[in-house]
Amino acid sequence: MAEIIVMPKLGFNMSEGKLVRWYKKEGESVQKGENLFSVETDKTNIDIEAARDGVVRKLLIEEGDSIAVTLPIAIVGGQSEDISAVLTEALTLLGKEGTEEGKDGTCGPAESRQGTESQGTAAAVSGAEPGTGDRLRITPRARRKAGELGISVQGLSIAGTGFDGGICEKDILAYAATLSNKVGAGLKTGAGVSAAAGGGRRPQSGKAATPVARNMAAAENLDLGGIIGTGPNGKVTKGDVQRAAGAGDGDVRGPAQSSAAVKLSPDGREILEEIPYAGVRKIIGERMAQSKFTAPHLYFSQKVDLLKLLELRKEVNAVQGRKVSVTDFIARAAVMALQKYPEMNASLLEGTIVKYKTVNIGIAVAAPGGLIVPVVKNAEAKSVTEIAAVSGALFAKAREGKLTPDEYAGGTFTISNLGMFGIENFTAIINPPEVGILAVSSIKDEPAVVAKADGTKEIAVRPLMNIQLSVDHRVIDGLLAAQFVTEIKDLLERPAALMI
Amino acid sequence: MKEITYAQAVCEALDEEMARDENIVLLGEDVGFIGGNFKTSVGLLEKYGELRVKDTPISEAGFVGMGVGMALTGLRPVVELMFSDFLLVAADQVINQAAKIRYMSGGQVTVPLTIRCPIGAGRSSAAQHSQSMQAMAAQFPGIKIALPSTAQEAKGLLKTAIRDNDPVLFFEHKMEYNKKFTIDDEVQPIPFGKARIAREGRDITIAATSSMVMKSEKAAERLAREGIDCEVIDLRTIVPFDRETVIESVKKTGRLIVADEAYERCGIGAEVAADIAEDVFYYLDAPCGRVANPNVPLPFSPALEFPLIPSEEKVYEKVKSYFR
Repeated sequence: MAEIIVMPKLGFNMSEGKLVRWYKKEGESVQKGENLFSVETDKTNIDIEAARDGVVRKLLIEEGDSIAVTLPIAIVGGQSEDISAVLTEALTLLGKEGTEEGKDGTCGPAESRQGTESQGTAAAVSGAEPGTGDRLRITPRARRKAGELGISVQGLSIAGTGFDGGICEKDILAYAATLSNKVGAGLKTGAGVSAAAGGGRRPQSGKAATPVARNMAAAENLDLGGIIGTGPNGKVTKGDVQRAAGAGDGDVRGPAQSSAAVKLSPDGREILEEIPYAGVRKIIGERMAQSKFTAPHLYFSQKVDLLKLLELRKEVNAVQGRKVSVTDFIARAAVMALQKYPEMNASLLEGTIVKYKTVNIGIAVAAPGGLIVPVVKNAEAKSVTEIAAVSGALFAKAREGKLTPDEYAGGTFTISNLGMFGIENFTAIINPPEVGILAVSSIKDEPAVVAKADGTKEIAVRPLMNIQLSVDHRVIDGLLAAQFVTEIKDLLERPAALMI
Repeated sequence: MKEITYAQAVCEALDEEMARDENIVLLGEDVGFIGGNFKTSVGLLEKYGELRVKDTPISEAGFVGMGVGMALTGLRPVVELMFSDFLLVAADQVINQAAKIRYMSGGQVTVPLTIRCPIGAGRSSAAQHSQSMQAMAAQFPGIKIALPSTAQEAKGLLKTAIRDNDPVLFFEHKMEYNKKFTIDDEVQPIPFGKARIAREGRDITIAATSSMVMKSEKAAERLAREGIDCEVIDLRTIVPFDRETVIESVKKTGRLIVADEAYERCGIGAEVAADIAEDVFYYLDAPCGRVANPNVPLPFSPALEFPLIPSEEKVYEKVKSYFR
């Protein structure tokens, strides 16, 4: 029995997955439990195994394609089984064989709820009548009419003939007639609401589009062919149609739509390339925006003299096989500082400041899909060389895009080191829900004022490195942050402490 | 112009539509051999054959479900339930299936299904065969609801219901079936969501459905002799609801009574009054009123049944209470 394989939903927030690798080609057989394909999710690559034995009959998307979760990506069936029905179903799900004739987009059961012209004139009439205790019994319509005629209803003492003896419009009119005042013009009734008559429907091209997008395009009288699809395989989505409709009389509306040889931005500039803001890019973007726009950032810089640390590192790497990087020393220094100042090893979670027992150090890495922060867990119990062993393995997996969610979650503090790129100084955005991040810049030989043993000072060439701490001022005050970043500086300048 | 009964008008609509479109099929208990429990499909079995006019077992959930399936495959089934009370037997098919499938498929499929069923008390059919289910049904998005008043309305609205691509609950009034009405020789489909002003007036608006339209017109004639000028609106469909027509009328008259035969609680009157309240509040010269079935089951005994039925007299009394 042929079966449609779909893009799996591997996380609660996963809306689409990028297929990075097919382990099987069309025509190859696959055993239950064998890897069938690999998916890049928001943060990592996950191999998906075949759920049963069969032959890969059809691959519906290519490596590198992104597609919404639960949409078909392949068909697995028997060697010579007829898969035409299943294939048609899959293609229909992918919107590649839309058969939408006879569907009337406006026949939706929801009735029109256009608002009518508001004619409230309550302001023209005085409010409640405290007066004699009982509230004046006057209908809204009568009150409105009184306002139109300039009659104050406050203290009005006329007999009501309306519902339950209340004053109705007729009573106000009768009262007005007794006054010398002119009776105002008759009531204006609200103008009828005219529903915009739907024009002729534009026949839709065979372009791939979601059903909702197709219906919306028909309702808006837009040509799907002129809309740039940002969905899987360039499929036109609801959002695309909304953008196209919102563009007003832009280049997507109208029958004279020419081929899109040169794409122009809404303000008329030539477009080199359009990339959907989605997946890892979008997740990074949204997390950073959330952090920067909710956590008030404070910044504290220090200049660190690494003369002793670089000598120590040389000796350490000479006596043992595994290379220890400067970053590992910095991580160790941060761990020790976090143990001294546990307020920094914390999160602000739903109104509670949570301080953690263990220190989990995240170290930012540039991975193929974008920034990722693998986490060295329980770093407080690890020596510099142990930190180096764990971080080395994590970096290797990160660069292959193979980190599991467990390996990049649960950090309590983050280090971002751009030293290898010669950066003088930079500012980092806190990785939420943490409360601090350390930005580490490059080591440069610079003239420095150093104190000699006899208390005099001299200028010497020293390897100096800028570090900058960002803290969330909601939780961390300046004094603590200054002490913390200075502690890291002191530890790095007296590196023997890092080896204890 | 000609004189025919309401039941004949329904029958003519079915006949004319079936002749026009061979995808239209009839299903229901006794729709074929008997010609309909209320004689609304007389002669259609003979004319269109057993494939298109199907007598079904007493199994509402089964044959309404069959209608949903037929509709999904491109047919336009017209399913008859012998009493609207039996909608509850088929409720899952109507509410969870027919009304939801277009939505849940993202508009990929529609369910062009018409379900006809008689409403109303007055035949001593007791509590399980006398109810008017339109208010309950109107709760559920995805179903259109038509309540034809006269024979002309029944014929025109039924044609629209059958041609509509969405499920339509078509509530005919069982006390009107045998009454004679004057009807045009040719009746065109009447669009949904457009109410009919059955009688123009300036003092009070009576928004009515189904047989309450005729009862309200008669009450209005009496009230006119007493100097109260009623405007009677035939709502025709409650989903979609023509709120603009009602709002315009209430802005003119300043008073509204809603007359519908379903139970009063959470009924059509409550809905109409609440729906338009924001638009007409400063135009109201009296609270909105309701004429509906009291919130009790309908008794078998005619002596007990008739006092409960919303009548011409009740509309008259309700209007009178607004003018002292």
